[in-house]
Amino acid sequence: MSQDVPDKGMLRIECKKSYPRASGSAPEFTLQARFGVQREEFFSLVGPSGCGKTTLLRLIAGLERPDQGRIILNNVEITDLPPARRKIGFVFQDYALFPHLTVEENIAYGLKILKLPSTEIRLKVAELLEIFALQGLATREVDQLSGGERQRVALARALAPQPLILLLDEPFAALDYELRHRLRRELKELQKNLGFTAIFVTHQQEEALSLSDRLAVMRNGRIIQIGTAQEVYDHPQTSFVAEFLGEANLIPCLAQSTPDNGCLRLELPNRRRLCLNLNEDAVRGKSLPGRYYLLIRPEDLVINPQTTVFEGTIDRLEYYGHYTRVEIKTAGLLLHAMVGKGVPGLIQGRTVRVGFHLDRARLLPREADHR
Amino acid sequence: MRRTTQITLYRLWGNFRLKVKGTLAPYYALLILFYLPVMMIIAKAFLRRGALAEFLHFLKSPVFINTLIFSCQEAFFSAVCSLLVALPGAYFFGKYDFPGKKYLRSFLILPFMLPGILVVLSMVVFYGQNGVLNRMLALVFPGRGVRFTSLYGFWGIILAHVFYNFSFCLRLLGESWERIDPRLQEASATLGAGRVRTFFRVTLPLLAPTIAYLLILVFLYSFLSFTVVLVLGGYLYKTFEVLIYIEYNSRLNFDRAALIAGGQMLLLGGFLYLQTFFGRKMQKQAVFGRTLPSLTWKKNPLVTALALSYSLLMALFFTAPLLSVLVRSFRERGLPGGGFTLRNYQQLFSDGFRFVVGERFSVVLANSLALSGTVATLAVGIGYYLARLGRDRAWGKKDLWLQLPLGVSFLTFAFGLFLLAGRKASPWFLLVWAQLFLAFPLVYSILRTARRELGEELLEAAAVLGASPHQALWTVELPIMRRPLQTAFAYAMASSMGDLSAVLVLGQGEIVTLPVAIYRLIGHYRFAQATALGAIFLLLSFLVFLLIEGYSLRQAEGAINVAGRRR
Repeated sequence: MSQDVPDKGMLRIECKKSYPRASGSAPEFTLQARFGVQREEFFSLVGPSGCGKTTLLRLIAGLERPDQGRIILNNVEITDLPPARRKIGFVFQDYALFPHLTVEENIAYGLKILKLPSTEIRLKVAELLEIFALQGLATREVDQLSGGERQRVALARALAPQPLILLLDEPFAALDYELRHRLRRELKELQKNLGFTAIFVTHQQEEALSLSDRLAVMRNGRIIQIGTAQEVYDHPQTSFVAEFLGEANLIPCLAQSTPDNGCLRLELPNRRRLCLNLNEDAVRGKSLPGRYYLLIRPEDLVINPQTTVFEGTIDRLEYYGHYTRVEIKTAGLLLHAMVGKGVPGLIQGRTVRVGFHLDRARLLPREADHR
Repeated sequence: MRRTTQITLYRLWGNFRLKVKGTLAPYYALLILFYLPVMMIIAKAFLRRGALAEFLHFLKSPVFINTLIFSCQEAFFSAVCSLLVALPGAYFFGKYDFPGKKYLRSFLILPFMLPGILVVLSMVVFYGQNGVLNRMLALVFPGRGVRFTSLYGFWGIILAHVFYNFSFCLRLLGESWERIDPRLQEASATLGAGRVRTFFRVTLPLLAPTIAYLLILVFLYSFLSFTVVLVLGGYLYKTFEVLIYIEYNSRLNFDRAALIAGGQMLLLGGFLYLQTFFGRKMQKQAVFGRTLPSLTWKKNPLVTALALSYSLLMALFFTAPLLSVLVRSFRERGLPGGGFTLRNYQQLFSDGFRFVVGERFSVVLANSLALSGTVATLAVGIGYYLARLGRDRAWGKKDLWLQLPLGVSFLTFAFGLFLLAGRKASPWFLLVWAQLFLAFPLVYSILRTARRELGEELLEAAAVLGASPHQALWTVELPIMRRPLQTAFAYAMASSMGDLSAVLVLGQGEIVTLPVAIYRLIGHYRFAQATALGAIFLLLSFLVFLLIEGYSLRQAEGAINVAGRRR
């Protein structure tokens, strides 16, 4: 790799690892990553299944070794250190609680390995039991615990030896929606209160957006974009990121000329031409003329606006309580809109006018983005 | 220094996912140990001058034809009767829930794990001429001469085989019945079929693979029966196993013994193929978890009454012979009418015992424990080493090669070993070798499955919590694997302790174990001492059984394979 490790960050990683695919004919899978994580930051790795998130986490933990590159934690290179010596906590997807130990024994495991005095271990375990509201469960076998309790034990166990960084591999994957929602809030609060640094792996965009200080979107073993949740959501650099994080209307278009007096002329697939007053950010760095996607988030589509861009027919309505999802067929396109309560005229088959918030639309490149 | 060493080790390993660079030497050593004696049999049977002509001549001989007819007949009747006896029990097991069902299910594996000689002893004590049954019949029908006199003969052999096999037939068939999705029967009912038609059109076809599997399995084991036929068959009834033993032991005709063993291997091939075929079909049956209706007097008086009657009959059939051994071991001269005494146990330490058995009781016990302990330790040690080595890969060809012992009769293997090493090697060494062959497939299968199921995550969790691979092994892996290790050890011990044929063939008369001692006592009509020794053996078997039941065994089928082959 030509790049070196990032300059900043408590954890700095630059590494590459290749794997043969399961089927012999497929090309090998290569994971390549370069990023840094700040102290006390909640950093998420998000991407579809099989994109290499967990592998990246395992590389950081030392459970796998990179073919090339370096991993630096707290200014110490840990690339060649075995996992036992990295001072990294790991919460596994299904928690990997030791079934032959009780709750308190699980929590005490790492402390015993550190050979701390037994009184200190007892105090530390008691403290963690209290923090995680597990006092009544101390002597329980782990197979007698509920999903949420297991998750808390796994967190307490991982945090007990006071790791420099905590890695969480989809810890909410096995839980139902309500519990996931509650534990997500609890985790974020704990992280704030205890002040630990965390790298969190998930394939759920909602989780990544709500928890992370920053997040990295991954695809096919590569990090596509890193930024705060808002940055990545509002300013996706590729159509993949746009579609992966939230819903996106991606309208193929030909941007014909540079904005003239703030007006960018776009040609849509049905040769319809539009002249749009786009936000300056939206076109920054784009080579024009060129083939692009016009990204409009469903919540930015407006039905029956003052300025009409499209006219179409309501093809489908899905009622979700606090909003309605509307599918509109127009000009050979299918647009998705999310509209709040009180919007009149939402009847299937009815013709509506559609516009959007021009300042929130973005142009995204098409060629480099293998959709 | 310590840190440098750890880093070096880590680099050597590549990564913590422990691609263990263990040697495969024990695997290849086992293959040689397992296959060489079998090759020896084949060579001795078919690769010498005139072997083919002799083989063809043997196929036409009355000995072969009579043995084949008898073996097929007794195996067929044993299989059918075992299933018929098991069927009602399987129905109650499959359709209802009742108190103690879990324990009863565990208990059902016990008769199958009993050493063959103990089963024979129980049969003799209960169904024999002066047996408990005849005493009871005399009490119920005084002066009418109603007696059971068929123990030493065809039906006695069938009775012993049914005693042995019905319990695991009941267990497997019951489990198969439990797995049938009740919605299928409900669907049949909504389509207008009555209970009888639903049974024949829906339930029975779904049970058919298990029934076929069990029929073939019991047929196979009865066909290969040794101890039961050796003791109860007399001179008239012989299976090929007994025939091999007679040719080897009495006539010293090793060529003929090898020829019979080789011929039997060919015959077995077909049966084993069928067994595997139906075994796979049986496993394909979908698992359907459901809560069964409780069997209570209030809800189902008729079914409960039938179930109780059946249980009582089975208890009489199965438990009574074993209890008879225990009770008679405390009776004067081992007879039902005698008073309570400990004399039979005292006599185990007498010169008379030593004269008949050839060794002192303490030596017999020590021999059995030492031999079975060594075999179990070796089998579990090597088995776990190989299971750990292969934990990253699914069950494959390499593992199948280690299952070969399931395809060869144990007596044939022991005889092959005798041909290979003869009297040049220590009989102890040969016995350990033979019994390792007997125990290894199941031990390996238990440990391989359990180790693979354990996965790597818990060890990785230990590693990120600071544990070295060594610490992870001792604090996480081995404590979690304790139960499968214990079960594997107990099975290996049980199979070794119960073995009679290998000790008879390879022990050269010098090694006397508990089954050999009981066999010699029965041969000298010393039933009083035989029951005392049998009671001790029963106690040992029960202790081993308790070890086994510490672990929920998913390999009941495998256990059956091993236990069945050492009779």
